[in-house]
Amino acid sequence: MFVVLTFSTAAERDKFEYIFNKYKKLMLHKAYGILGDYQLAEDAASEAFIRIYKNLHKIGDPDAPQCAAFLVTIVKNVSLSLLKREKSHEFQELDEFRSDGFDLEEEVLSRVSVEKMYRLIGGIHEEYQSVFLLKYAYGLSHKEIGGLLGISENNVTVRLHRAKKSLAELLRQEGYVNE
Amino acid sequence: MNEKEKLLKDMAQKYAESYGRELSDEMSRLSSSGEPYPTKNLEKRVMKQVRPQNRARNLRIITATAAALLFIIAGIRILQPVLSETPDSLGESPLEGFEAIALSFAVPEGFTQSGFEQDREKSVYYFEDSLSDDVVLTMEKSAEKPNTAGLTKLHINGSEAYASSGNGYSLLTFNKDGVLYELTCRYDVNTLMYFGNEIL
Repeated sequence: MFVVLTFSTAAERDKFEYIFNKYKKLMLHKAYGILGDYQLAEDAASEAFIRIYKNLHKIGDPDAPQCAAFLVTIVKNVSLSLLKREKSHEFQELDEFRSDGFDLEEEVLSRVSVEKMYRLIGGIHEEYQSVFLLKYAYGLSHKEIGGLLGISENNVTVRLHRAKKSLAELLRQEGYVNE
Repeated sequence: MNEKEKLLKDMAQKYAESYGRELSDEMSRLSSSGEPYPTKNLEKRVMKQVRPQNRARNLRIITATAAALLFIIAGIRILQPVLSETPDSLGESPLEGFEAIALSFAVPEGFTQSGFEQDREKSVYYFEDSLSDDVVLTMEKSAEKPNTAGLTKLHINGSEAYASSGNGYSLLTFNKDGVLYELTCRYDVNTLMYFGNEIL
């Protein structure tokens, strides 16, 4: 049993070190782009890597484009949390998702081209976008997303709702949905 | 999964792939431009935290296995003379007066009980988290409120509880029905909230 566990740990360590070495500059660069301060960017990248280490099993091929997107999603989210803390900006999470009757129609979604959707998803607020991607692109549960981003499950639900609402709003602006 | 969810999934996956390719290009540009992002300090910080976790995990496994073996050996030694005695001659159990407190709640999803020990009056339960944020729950019969120095007061399902995070671990404590609960984990205080929600 110990042999297997030791090997597993060594493999995990190698995988993590590979990911760390490959993406460390990009992670710092992305964090710096949000925080504008090297020390804070290092704090964010460090925290993001620790969270990634804890969720290493969710990463398949470290060289796949999806891996880069996954890592950057995490570091951006951590950076935004740090930024909010630095600015002591209160981020109000309302229970709007419980009462709002908004919905994304299948018919509308099926008409949107991939290129257009790429632009639309890119236009969603980073904090909502990250939850949206972790849920739909990576298939994580709300609990897993909460653990990864350091937020409650309730917060995950709220942000996911807001992501879809933002998408619906952007689609409306693009003329896909009638007023 | 309904059709709409499938469409969202498809779009999100395509987005992640395209975004990832864009990031790979950005990484190549970063490498070739020699952007000044010194990473030595980051490496020290991250590896310092990651490596002890590996060591700690291995140590925990070895310690748990050793404890289990000792427990079995001790159990055999205790039972051997006891089995040869009549019931009238049986003495007090070594744990007499320190009754284990049973779990009175459903273990939250994603957690499995990985161990238990009775530390005198304290019942200590160990839970493994699928997200690697393992939880230790200590329960002790006590009418007293928890020591709340330095903790933040909060309410879970209308009941008072106290929490803290930082300093390398998170803590959640409260008293319910004369039992003092203390929950700790390594990372995220939200991990403990899942338990708090089930207990309170």
